[in-house]
Amino acid sequence: MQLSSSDNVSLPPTAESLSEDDIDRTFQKLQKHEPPAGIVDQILQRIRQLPAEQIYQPSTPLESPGQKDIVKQEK
Amino acid sequence: MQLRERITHQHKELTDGMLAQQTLRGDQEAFAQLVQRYSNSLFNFTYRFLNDYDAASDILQQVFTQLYVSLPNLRTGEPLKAWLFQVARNRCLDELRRKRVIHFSELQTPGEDDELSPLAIIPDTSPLPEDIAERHDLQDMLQQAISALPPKFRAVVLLRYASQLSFSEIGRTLQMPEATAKTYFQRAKPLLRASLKERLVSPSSAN
Repeated sequence: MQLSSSDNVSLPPTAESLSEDDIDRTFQKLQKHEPPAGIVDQILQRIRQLPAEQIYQPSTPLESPGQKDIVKQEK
Repeated sequence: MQLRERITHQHKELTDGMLAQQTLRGDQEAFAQLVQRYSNSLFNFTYRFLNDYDAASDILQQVFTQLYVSLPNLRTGEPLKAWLFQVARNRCLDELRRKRVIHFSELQTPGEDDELSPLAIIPDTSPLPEDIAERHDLQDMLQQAISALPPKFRAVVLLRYASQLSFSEIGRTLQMPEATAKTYFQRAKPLLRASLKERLVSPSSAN
């Protein structure tokens, strides 16, 4: 976005505080996009294609490091 | 309510940590719930960051696959949001680098006066046109303005506008102080404003 002498950009004669509300209001209209349909199933399919040892099974023991920080489930 | 629906409903009431625990016990429905919880906001972030639908979809799958594999080592006592967006941001940067859109120097932490274009230095205090919100090509202009931002500003702006993260969450995601996240956001606004003005003045030459 380099300015050149031939650019016809209208600039104010004096410096004042920028109106940031305009930017906020405008960009809050940023359209939300949905992920592709079936993305959850696609991800689960990808998980199932992992090596067998990386797929957690009901009998997988919880002995890996970092488990101490896991919130205990309420009984 | 069917059993599957009841299980899904129960999953929605669980914290990220609880769903992670259940995933580790082999419950893939619990992991599916984590995916559903964050996929929309993550997709919006990656799509806007790259302006590439297919790349964003692929990265979304990569992020959740990485989450699944990383679960045993994560601090799941806290929400996974920051970790997910951090991974997504890194994957987006990898994609930009792969496309050779950015140079390595742009990824480094800048000094105070980096990344300022002449348009940002010249203050523009005139109000935006009244009908800007009504333009049919507004979304294109917004996306182009975002895509023109340096990657580190782009990440903050998108996490704020597209994914509605607080500045505290943005700081945790991008591993910077909250104050820095706010500063980057404030510094990005003149660039966005200038970019929008440029496109309104001469749409064809701005691209």
